[in-house]
Amino acid sequence: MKEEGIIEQLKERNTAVFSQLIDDYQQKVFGTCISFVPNKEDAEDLVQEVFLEVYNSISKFKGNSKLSTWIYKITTNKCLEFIRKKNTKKRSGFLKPLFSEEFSIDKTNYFTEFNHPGFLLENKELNETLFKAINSLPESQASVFTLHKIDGKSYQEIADITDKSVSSVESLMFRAKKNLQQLLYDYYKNEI
Amino acid sequence: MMKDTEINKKVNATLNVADTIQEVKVSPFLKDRILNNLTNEVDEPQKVWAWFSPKFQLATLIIVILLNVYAYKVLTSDNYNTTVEEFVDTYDFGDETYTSIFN
Repeated sequence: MKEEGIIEQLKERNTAVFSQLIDDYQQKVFGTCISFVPNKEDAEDLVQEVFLEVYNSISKFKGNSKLSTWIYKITTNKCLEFIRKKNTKKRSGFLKPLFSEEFSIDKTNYFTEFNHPGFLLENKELNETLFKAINSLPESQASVFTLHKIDGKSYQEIADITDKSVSSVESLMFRAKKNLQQLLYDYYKNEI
Repeated sequence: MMKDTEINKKVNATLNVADTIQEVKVSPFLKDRILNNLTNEVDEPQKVWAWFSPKFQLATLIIVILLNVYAYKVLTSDNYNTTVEEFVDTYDFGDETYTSIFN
């Protein structure tokens, strides 16, 4: 079935087509969710929320982008929303951005408990440090870095998902890497 | 204290560790959970409010507005005062002084 046909069927609340859509996308959506939120249970809850949103909002989908792009857009927004909520709960520090321009790796209050079966045992600590460092970046840089480096999406795909040009995605990626290097350098320097 | 070269080595190792993350397979029952949640969430509100379509909503709104306009007109009209005055006159509830046979 062509994409237009699938969208029409989804708008008519065809459960069989929706079930097929879940089969086609659940692994990819889950991959993106666990890239942002390194906890399997949280990521699966987010996948559920994404598909519920897809089902409930398909009538609003105008077809300006590919269906897959629209689904990844919802996925990214849901993940960022989740992280934002958890971060505000964990950090008592709205004072932090007020009084400091600098950002540092928050060693104690990461927004979720790490439970990522894809981390190799010998790299577990490095992975956790990397995720904590990513969480300290500004949101736009963190999302571009996560989508590219962790989830493996191309710059073009990220540009479509985030409604940005490829060059601004490249620029965000460059700044993200630079900031991460600095953050990690400071972290390891102060570690011992 | 670590040397700069050692620190940079660790920084690079941390940045490159993302390439070693392996794909995690989604739980086999996730699809069933999604479909279950969907039927639970979608069915209930639809049963209750499905009949209240936008046409009905508009009609209800118009009726409410008309009722309000009517009520406002009734309240502001003189008719109410005249009716009350007639009632007072008919049953002699006015302020006039009454003559009593005992006076």
